[in-house]
Amino acid sequence: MNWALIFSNGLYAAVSANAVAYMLIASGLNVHFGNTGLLNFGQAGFAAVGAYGIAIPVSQYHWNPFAAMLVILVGAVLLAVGVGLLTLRLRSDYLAIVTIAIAEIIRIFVNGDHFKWLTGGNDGLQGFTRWMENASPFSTNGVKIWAQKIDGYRLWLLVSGWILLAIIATALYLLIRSPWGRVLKGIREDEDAVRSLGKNVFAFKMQSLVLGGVVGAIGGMWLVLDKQSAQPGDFATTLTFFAYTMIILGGVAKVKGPIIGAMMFLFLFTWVDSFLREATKTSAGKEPVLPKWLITDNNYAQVKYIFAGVVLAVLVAFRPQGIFGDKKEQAFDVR
Amino acid sequence: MSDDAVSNYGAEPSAHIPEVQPIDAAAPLSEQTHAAEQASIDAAEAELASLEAIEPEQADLESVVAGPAAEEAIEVEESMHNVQSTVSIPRATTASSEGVFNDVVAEPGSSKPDPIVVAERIRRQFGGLVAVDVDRLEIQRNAITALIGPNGAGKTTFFNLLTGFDQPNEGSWTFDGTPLLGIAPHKVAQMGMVRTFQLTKALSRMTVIENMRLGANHQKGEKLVQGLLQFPWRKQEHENTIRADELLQRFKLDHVRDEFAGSLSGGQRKLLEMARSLMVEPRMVMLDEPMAGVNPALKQSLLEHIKLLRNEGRTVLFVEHDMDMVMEISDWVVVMAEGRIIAEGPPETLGQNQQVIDAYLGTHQGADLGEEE
Repeated sequence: MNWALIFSNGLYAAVSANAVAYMLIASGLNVHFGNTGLLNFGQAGFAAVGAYGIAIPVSQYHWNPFAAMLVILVGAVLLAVGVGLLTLRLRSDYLAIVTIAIAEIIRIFVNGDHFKWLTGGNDGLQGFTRWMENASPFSTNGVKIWAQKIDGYRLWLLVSGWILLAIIATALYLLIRSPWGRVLKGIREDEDAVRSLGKNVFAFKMQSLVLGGVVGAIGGMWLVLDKQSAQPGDFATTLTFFAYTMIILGGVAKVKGPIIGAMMFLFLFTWVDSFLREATKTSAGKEPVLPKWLITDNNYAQVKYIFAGVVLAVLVAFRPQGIFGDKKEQAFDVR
Repeated sequence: MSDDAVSNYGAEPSAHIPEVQPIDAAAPLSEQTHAAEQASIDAAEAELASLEAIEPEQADLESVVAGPAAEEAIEVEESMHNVQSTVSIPRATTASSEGVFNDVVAEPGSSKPDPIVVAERIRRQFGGLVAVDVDRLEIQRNAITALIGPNGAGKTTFFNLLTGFDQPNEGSWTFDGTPLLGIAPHKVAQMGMVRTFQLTKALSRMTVIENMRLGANHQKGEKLVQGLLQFPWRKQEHENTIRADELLQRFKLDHVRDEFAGSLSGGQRKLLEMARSLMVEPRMVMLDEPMAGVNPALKQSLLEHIKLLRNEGRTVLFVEHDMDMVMEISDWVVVMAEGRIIAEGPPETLGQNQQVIDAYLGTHQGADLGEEE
């Protein structure tokens, strides 16, 4: 058992570029769910727009990456407006149904054979990160911190990702504390009351949907920059539910909630995975630590998902306000 | 409950129920604020005095209300109807709009000297059920009008229609001369017609002061970019907070300023909702059952607040089941049953109106109440 590796894997997962991507996706969702009360179950769809918005133009058509970012922005706004026009006049349950459907449509579209020439289908798309690699100021050999090796590109993504996150989180913090954010909170509590005070609820919900969607799309872009490959499987509903787990872990409706929540979630998630990998490994003729009738190195990989599901269920049931949340303000609307 | 309210009335307020004397408490506030505030509180104090010995000492106020146009309207009114039924009775119970209704005929759809709302042929159907079918209703400006009727009479639906929360199948209505058919509820509120809800809508996971600040209209910081930039709205936010604090003080909610609204009692939530609606600076306040679930001590305080709204020059329309309250503060009462307006009149005359009695006791057994006269 290499405990140093198990722990360093967990700690790195909590702060890596991949973690930053999750933090952005969850922060966008937190604007919808935590601040406005919009039950968006299709955040993976916004992330997919970000991922394929950079992958398709750069990989297939060799666009300038900054032009591709414009595609992401426009795509996320259009998706948000489309979803909003369809659902925002209905009850929030319908938003959940429609968003989950739209996210699945996007995933199945990019996964499909018919448009493989565009989206890469099941194989995904690669080769759209050269510009980012070239921009890296770090040596490609990277660094080794404790038991964790980090290559130069990932280190560059980590550092620039945290800078990007700091800028976005600060903007969200300022917005949520402004009168604009107050209207969103009011809508979360009771939209008819807000309407009776002369606020255009539909317009505010739409703005919230667009803002959170764009932040989520940026997160999706960061996710594929880190993986250096855009795969349809990464944008299944699991991504959305991970984002919900992160928000609830860290505390709903606080800007720091999804950031702290993602760190906790990814640490535990990766720790469990690394631990099981070490504990089922047959090395130097020795039997693995965990007995083979219970778990083997072939099937341990699913356990982390079971673990994640249990964490989400237990949290919602027993600590809906999150680990650090204020019960009075951040509880789920379970009444 | 209501008996308690009556017996408490005018008695020494007990020490642990501070809400009973809202006007006295509001007085120190006026010393530090503008003269307009002073005037309204003076009026309220005078009114408080008049509650025990009813004297028409508010003539100056009522002449403002009734205006010259009013007299013309009254003449037309009298020629139109052959006044045979219930002749209006001179009133002395309420202060500022006393006399305005003297020459208004007490019958459904009657014309008022200076109506702020004029509704015509408003009809709302839910499937086969006609929830609201109002031929004509005028609501007098700067008066307290009560809308009463048995359960299911369509009062709340009518409220929803007037404020844009629901759209009628047919009909038209104006607020201060502006047609409101098809106007979205938030625009109706921006025009100055603000409502409260039967089931109080305090925004529970926001603090009381944030509830209040939310109510202020034309906030620069509610625009996405300006909200982000902070500096464009700081000054306005400060001014709104001062106004909110004044209102909280007046409604005796200043001690819970930073509590979550969800932790307030039912009565305090009613007060908060009313105070919050005033942040919009409405010309007309529409209260849907302001007394439901409010304890008798707080009730008295709410009554004074509602009267103060009128004395500030606002129009009040409220739905209420509490007859003591209707009798005490309303200047005019509109009775609905089965979607129609079956009677109108000053509160004292209601007890004698056969249709009202029938509507409440149900002796008509489904007969068409509106076309009986």
